Amino acid sequence: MSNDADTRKLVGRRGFLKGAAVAPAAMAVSAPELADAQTRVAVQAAAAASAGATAVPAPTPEQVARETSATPPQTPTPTVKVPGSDLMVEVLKRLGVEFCTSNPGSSFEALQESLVNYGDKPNTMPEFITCLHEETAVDMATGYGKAEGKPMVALLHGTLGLQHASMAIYQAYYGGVPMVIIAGRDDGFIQAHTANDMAAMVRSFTKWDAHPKTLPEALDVLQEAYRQAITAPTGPVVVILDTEIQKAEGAGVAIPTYRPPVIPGIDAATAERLAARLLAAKNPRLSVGKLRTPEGVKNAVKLAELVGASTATQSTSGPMSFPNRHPACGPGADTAYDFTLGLESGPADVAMMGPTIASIAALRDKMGVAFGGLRASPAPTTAPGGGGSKIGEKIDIDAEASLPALIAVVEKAMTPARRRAIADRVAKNAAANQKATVEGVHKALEAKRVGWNNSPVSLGRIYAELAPLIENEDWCLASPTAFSGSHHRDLWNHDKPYSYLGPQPAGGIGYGAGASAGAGLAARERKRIVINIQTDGDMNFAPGVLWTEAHHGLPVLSIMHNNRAWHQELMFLEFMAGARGRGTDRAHIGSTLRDPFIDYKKMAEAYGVAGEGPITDPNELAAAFKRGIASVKAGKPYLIDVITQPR
Amino acid sequence: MTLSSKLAIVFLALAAAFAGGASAQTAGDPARGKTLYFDHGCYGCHGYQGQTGARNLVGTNSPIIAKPEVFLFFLRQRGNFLPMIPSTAMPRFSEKALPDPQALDIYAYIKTFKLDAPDVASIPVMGQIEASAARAYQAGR
Ligand code: HEC
Ligand SMILES: Cc1ncc(C[n+]2csc(CCOP(=O)(O)OP(=O)(O)O)c2C)c(N)n1
Ligand SMILES: [Mg+2]
Repeated sequence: MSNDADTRKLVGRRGFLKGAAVAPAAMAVSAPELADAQTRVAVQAAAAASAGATAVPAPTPEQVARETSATPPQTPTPTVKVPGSDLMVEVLKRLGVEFCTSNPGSSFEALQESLVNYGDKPNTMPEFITCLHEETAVDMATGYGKAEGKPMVALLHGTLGLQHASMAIYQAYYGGVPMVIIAGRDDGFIQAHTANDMAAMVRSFTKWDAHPKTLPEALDVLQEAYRQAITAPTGPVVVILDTEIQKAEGAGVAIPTYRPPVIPGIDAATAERLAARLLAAKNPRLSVGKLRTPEGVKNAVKLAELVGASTATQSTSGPMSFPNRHPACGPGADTAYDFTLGLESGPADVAMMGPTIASIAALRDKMGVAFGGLRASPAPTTAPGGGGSKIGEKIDIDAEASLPALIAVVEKAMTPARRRAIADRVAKNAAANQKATVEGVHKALEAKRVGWNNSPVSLGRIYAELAPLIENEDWCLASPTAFSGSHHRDLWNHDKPYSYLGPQPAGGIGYGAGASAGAGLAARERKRIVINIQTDGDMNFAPGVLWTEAHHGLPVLSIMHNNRAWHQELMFLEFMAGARGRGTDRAHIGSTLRDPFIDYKKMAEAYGVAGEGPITDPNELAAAFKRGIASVKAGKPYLIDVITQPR
Repeated sequence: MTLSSKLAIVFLALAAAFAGGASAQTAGDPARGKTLYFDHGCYGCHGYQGQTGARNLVGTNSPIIAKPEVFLFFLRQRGNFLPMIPSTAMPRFSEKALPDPQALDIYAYIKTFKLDAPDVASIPVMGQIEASAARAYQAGR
């Protein structure tokens, strides 16, 4: 163990804590802080006294007395040549981790110091993103992970940070969202912030965790954590990092070479078999679900184009699926498909379906909680991944990892005659799909015109007004949209893997605001804009995320779906009251956000986000949206409060 | 036949049954009805103007709101079963919870709703959305 650990033992931090514990009850609240100040000063004193020596004597009572007074402490001498935490940051840099969301905590003071100070370009890759709540930190990682299909880091303070973040972790798990969660652990400091097996608190809903005991092991573990997060089934992983290791001597410790994970795809024989069926088909079809990364989406498009397949997509209900207005996407010219290949989706004659979180849930669920939806079902009748039940042959293999082999075989088997037949089919499908799109849009507009000039504003109008304004922007719709009618589905062109990031993975409210900010991290680096149709109930769990958007210049346009209620619950209560014959006139109690109404423009302003509203006249929407889009394109988040119809 | 089309037939029959007979009901007051429509949370599933949400209350030619008697019958006859999973279906309104006079006030208010649905062709934004859908797809935008 490191020298630093020895230092800490010698200065007897537990002693200080004991002292704090016997303080009068009235002081109990401030006792930990007192201990904090005293301990830090004592550590600094010890470090100063040691003047670089490896083992230091405990400070004398006089020294402690002097150092805990108002006298400023002497500058401590560095106890290590290369801080261990610098090496940890180097590992993250080489992995290409862009961001680290966090609320500061002493259990990772060393790592935080390295993040902000280490390297040629300190505080980049990853950049420290300041969050006002740990739930936000993890929700942001979720938004980012959904948009990019790759992990960033959420850095949490011990037992406390983990608990504040726990619902967000739980949702990331349900959603199979890759992320690396690092929790600092400081066993010598405030005991309530630590635990022997800290990851146990979230083990039942994380994919993997580790608690390395040495610095070299920690560096390996960080790489393994990254590999675990991105390997199917993707999901959140946890690394517990002790302060001793963060502060350990890193001189002479090598950064291990990163080996990307090998995610198995179909074997050569299966590739041959599937390629043959696709090529033999007169009217092949792809059923595309959620792939892991943008690369998978690219290859799905390539395969559809190569074989001239019409395609079903999930891109209007979540990320990483087939672009919904691609000429191949739609019913095609003939709906009698003679071979359907599923890519993480069905129905299909053959579907490649990689492992989902459900497949490892029982293994990880050490408490036997058996979370709903992840319980092992005795005889699974439907394929995991929402594919439906009509799957002729299910191949338990990651579709994305299988695509390159399949494409290669198809390309090799291509003949001029095949090419001609395929080109013909592609043209026919494109015409039919285009027609279907135009008709679908028209039908949708026929429905959405009802209530067009209503005040409060109709939700269909919000999405419709936005459509032409974002058409030529690179946009990402990051908020869940079920509560605002999901009108983007039939009006907007979902042509990117990140066009729509989908619902709250486990239905938890308070997620949308954070996820949108996380998508904003990805967007800021890529000159993209984020659209967040923000429900009011969701906003109020952790509104401090607005400050994070302002502070870090995140291009997030939040449009309040301000129905002044947890409206979903209000409707449930109304039905319940009616069923009991008691009337619905008291159902608003506990389910509405009135008396007083919340002023979201002021809320945004308080956190440094420009805003406007409340808008009640729908004719004012377009101009406000234009101002908002201009603002976010200039790197400034913007909030527009719109008083809306409830649904 | 779907349940809702069966229901429609029932209510059409009811409407016919109530036809002609002088209404025993006194006409409701739409001003009072407006307050009651809000207080009893009708807006929650039908929108503030009866044209957003679960079911439109205007422009549908529904027999249920063609006559006050049928409307009252509809409110009272909803099932009083307890949903085993949460439901946003139309609640039952008992006589005790929403007496006839108040229900008729709400009815009178509902009857003041005017359908606000301009032609698609008359809304410029909708024209842009249609043009965009008709445009050839460009990979990567
Ligand atoms: C919890 C949601 C909810 C609430 C609250 C609610 N409704 Fe409904 N209502 C519905 C639904 C859903 C339907 C359509 C399907 C059905 O019959 O259940 C409906 C149907 C109706 C219809 C028939 C419409 C037609 O197409 O003929 C009328 C009239 C109506 N509601 C009036 C009211 C009034 C008046 C109130 C308040 C006193 C009210 N509703 C409150 C959900 C609700
Ligand atoms: C963490 C959490 N708490 C409570 C709920 C129960 N719940 C489901 S929907 C909902 C209301 C959401 O309100 P809002 O975000 O404003 O959307 P609205 O229904 O009003 O459109 C609540 C509280 C939940 N799903 N998650
Ligand atoms: Mg709400």
